[in-house]
Parts: sequence; structure tokens; C-alpha cells
Amino acid sequence: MKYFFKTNLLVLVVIVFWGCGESEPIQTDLQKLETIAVGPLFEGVNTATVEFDIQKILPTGVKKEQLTEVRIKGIQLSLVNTEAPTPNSFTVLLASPNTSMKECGFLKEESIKINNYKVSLAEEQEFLVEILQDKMQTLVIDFNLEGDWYDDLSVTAAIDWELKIKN
Amino acid sequence: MKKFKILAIIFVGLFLLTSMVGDSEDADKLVGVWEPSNKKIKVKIDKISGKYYGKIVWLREPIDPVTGKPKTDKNNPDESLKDVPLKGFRMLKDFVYSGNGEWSEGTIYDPQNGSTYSSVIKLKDENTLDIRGFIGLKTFGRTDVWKRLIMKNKK
Amino acid sequence: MNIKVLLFSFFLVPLLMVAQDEEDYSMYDDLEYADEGATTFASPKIIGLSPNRFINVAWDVQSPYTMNTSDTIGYLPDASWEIKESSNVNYTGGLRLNANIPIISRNNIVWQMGANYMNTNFSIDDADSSGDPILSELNRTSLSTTGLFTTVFKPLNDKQFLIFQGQADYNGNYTFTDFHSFGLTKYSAAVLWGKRPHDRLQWAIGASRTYRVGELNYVPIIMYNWTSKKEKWGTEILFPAKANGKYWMNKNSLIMFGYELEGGSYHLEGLSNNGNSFELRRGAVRPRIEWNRKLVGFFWLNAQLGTRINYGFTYDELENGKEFFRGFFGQQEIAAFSSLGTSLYGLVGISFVSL
Repeated sequence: MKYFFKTNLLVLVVIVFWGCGESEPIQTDLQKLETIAVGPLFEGVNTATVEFDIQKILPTGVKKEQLTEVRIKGIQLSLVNTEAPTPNSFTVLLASPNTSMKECGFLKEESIKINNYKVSLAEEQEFLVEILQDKMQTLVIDFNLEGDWYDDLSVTAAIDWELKIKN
Repeated sequence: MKKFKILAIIFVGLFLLTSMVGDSEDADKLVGVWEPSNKKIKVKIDKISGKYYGKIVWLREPIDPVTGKPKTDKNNPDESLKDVPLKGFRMLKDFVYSGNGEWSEGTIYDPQNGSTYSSVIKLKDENTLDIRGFIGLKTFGRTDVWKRLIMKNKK
Repeated sequence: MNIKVLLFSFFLVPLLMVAQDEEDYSMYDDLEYADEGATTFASPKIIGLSPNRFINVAWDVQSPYTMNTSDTIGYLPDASWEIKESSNVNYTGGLRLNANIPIISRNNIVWQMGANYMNTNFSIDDADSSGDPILSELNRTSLSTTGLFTTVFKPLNDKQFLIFQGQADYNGNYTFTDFHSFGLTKYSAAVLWGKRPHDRLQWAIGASRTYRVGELNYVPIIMYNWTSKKEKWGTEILFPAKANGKYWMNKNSLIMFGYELEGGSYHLEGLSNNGNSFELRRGAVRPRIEWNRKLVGFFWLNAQLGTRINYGFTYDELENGKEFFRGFFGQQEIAAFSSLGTSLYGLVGISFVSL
């Protein structure tokens, strides 16, 4: 009987420690997403969006439900239509069906003027885990145009993720 | 009998489809440009992936009198987002159509103090919204009246 | 008809609906109302106003002080009096609860109703052995205030507004198992008319019926709420009840400095005889510094440190419990006097607020 209880206690301890296992980082490629704002577009604030699923860039055998920590290390924006007027500001947001839309970062006019399209990132990023674990994600880029553009406008975002999963 | 069953399936399907289309049309009545009662901003509400969001597209006083520069979200609790321009800022987020001219489960952000409130929207008529922001219970909140804006000479 | 064609067209319809979707943009300066614009009304708030407390729980405590009490022989209001008893008050303090709930809150009217409860316990040295009935009564029981109030803010247009406040306070040394007559409830009210010239200023003038300094009085009111352009400094004044300067250290931390008048008229059951109401009229001025700090979400801490300066601590015998108006110039007799030494006080509370 005493061995029965000791064994069960040992099993319980092992289960608890297993559950509290350390998170380990996983390697992913830079994710390139092309958002599109459907024209005609006029002077002022416009929106480009694209839907994606983070599962597609995770290594084989890794499920997005295993994600425990998510951070964006960097976002680099680029304009696809070089003839289109250059927006003077960008705000990058992420949304998913069952979470709230959240700001991830923005690009100031001063950066754009010197051709620096590296997004200034939000400090608080705890919300990203929940968004990426959802069935799909939407990348939203709000941008301010100084002139009219009668066609579609595409903005590409290259996202460098830092992802960790539970062991 | 077989033909009757097939026709019945088609009619039921068409009925369900028109209900869904009708619901979708009602939900999209929120889309457009709106003005709060204080007339200080104009907000464009659009639909992204099935939910409704509103961004500031115009400010009556776009320049901060202290800095002399375009207003930014200086009261954002996240220090790194204090320089996000208010023009283009998404102050309404995540509204879902819940039927009967109401959208719920959304939030409204007040740039004047950096607070985010739970929110519900009710369409009073085609051109009037009641937007209520609240904390926890709807009682602890306030309702504002928003009016629809359209392009000039296009009534 | 080919059934396959029918079924195919059934599924094609939603795709056709999506393909028709197009938006028509315009420069946002060129917009007009679809029918008519909403009326703009003055907001009850200004930028930088201190957090509005929906629910507040606090504890107030004073440092020891001396209480001198006269004989209960009746005096003219401006008469001099002799000290009959002088006692040390070791402890004065108690719980304060306040709830202020919006009933209607819209851009064209705000109506709030609230309730408050305040309890003050005294611990007086030698109260019983002194033989003084007043000291004994105060030491034996505690003073309670249970009140209901309502406030209406009615904007007249985008600049002008009216405020009405009404209050009913049930004050005395009762307990919740031993209530006294509700006929002793005290009623206060205030009416103001004001202007909100811009987002950082609102002012108003009005009049009130108040028990703020212990006994019934009718006084004018001046409200002046202002915040500086940089949204750091400001004032929140509701004179003569309270006046504060303020400084926002950051969006989550606010310092206020000023004073507040506190007081009321309390029925003392043990000293009331023959259908009369023996009432303590107490009033105090509390200059202080107050710190308000966000804890989490919409919960804020408020802490005050200051002095309690006695304004009045007198006693009246109300015939048949009927209130009378003495004001600043009346000559109705005062039953007895007490004077309280100045003490330090501290208050700590937690509030559920809206900004």
C-alpha cells in the first residue's frame, strides 16, 4: 500500500513538472504578406488587408496551439506600386475572428522621408499569442495618402517572428 | 415524389439564403462615414473579415496646439504607440452584428484619456447611431448620437 | 429544367452579391449630412478632470486631540462659554462608502443617483467617569450618516448647462438594528447655471441649501474647473464646499491639494427627551493633499493626508424635532458648545472610476 501512494505521488510530481516545462524557440522564415487596398483610393486614410494563417510557416509537426510566446522582432514595409503616391504614415494592426484588433506598430512621416520603412513596434505584444492561435489572422495596414490613386495599392509586410512553443 | 423533394430542398435553401443576405445587408448598414455629436472628428466604419471597425478620417483641430504638429495618440498606455497619428486611428474595433440593428462585442477608445471602453452600437434610423461606451455593466457608461455623412449632392 | 443548373445558380447568388460590393470615397471635407446633424451639447466633463468615482470605499482616521465641552445651559450664538470638561479623544474615525450610478447618461442629459454611508467612532478618555452626558453619549455610540442623492446635468446647448443636486441625509447615533425617527432626515439641494467655453474650462454659479458646516445654511456656490493647455495643472473648485488645485504627474497619477468642508447635523438619541431632538451640529475644514493613482483597469487608489480644523461643534435642541434656520445672523439659543483641537487626518480608499 505504501508503495502505491509513493508511486502515485511520484507520477503526480512528474506530471506537474512536465506541464510546467520550459518554452523553446522555433525557427521560422521571414513571413512576407502582400496586403491590398482596393481602388479607387483618394487623399486621406485608406486600408490594405490580407488574411493568412500562421500555421503555414510553422515547422512540420508544430501546431499553432503549442505557441506560448510570440513577439514580432521586426516588420519591414515596401510598396508594390512604385508609381502610386507614397503614403505619409502607416499603422500596422493584427486581427483574428475571436480576438480584438491590436496595433503592432507604425511608421512615421520622418522615417518614410528618409526611405526607412522599418516599423516602430509596440512594446506590449502579449496579445499576439491569442491572435496567432486563432483559426486565421488578418494583417491590416492603415495608410495616409496625400493624393488620389485610381487603382489598387499593395503594401508588402515582411514580418520577422520570434516564436516559442511548449516542450 | 423525388422531384418534389428536390424542389423543397431548393426552396428551403433559397429561403435561408435570402435570410442570410438580408442579415448581411442589415449588418452592413453600419458601413460609412459618421460624425459624433461634438463634431470634432469624422469616423469611417468599414468591415474587415466579418467584423466592423471605425477609424478617424478627419479632425476639426488636426494640429496639437502645444507641439504644433499633427495630433497623435499621446495618451496611449503603451509608450511606444504615443506617436501614432490620430488621423487614421482605429477608435472603434471588433463590432459584430447581433441582429435587430445592433452591433456588440466591440470597444471604443477615447484618445483624450487613453481609455478603452466596451461598446455597443444601435442603429436608430438609417442615418443615426446610438453608440454607448461602458465599463463592465452598461449602466456605467454614456451614450452619444452619431450622424451619417454622405458625399455632397448625392442624396 | 436541368436540376444541376438550378442548384449551381443557387450557390452562385452570394458570389454575385460580393462582386457588386464597391465603396465610393471622397475627400472627407466634402461630406454633408445624410439628413441632419446631431445637436452638439456641452459635455459634463473637461479634459483633465479627476476620475469620476462610481463606487468608493474608504477609511478615515484622525490623530488624538483635546475636546472641551461646556455645560448644557443654553447660550446665545456669540456668547462666551466656560469649559466644563476637557477630555482627550484618542480615536476618531470610521468607514466611508459612496456609490454614484448613472441612470440616464446621454449627450443631452445625465442623471445620476447615489447613496452614501459614513460612520465615525469616538474613543474619549474618561468619558463615563466624567459624568458629562455629551461625552458619554459620543463615546458610547458612533455617528452615522446614510444618504441618498440625485444629480442632473442638463446641457442647454453646446456651451451652457444646468446642474441640479438633491440630497437626503439620515444622521444620528443610530445603528442598523435601532433606527431613530426618519422625520429627522435632513434635506440639501443645489442649483447651478454654467458655461463650458472650451474643452479645458467649465464654470458655474448657483445657490445651495446645505448642512456642510453643521447647521442649516443657504449659501451661493461657485464652480470653476480648469485644466492647463499641457493638461498638467488645473483647478477643481466648488466653493465654498471645496477647492483644489491639481497636478497630473502622468495619466495614471494625480495630486490634488486644497480643502474640503465636512459636516452635518446628528440626532443624539440618548440626550433627546420629550419629543425634542438633541442634535450635534458639527463642521470641519480639512486642508489636505490627495494622491489618486490607477491600480488596475478602472480601479484607482485615493489617499489623503491633512489636518482637520474644527469649524463648529455645537448642540441644539430642536423642539418636536423641527429644524430651524439660524444662518450667520440668527439669535436662536445654542444648547451647548464643544471645541475640538486641530488634528491630523488620513484617508485611504479604493474607487471604481470613469475618466
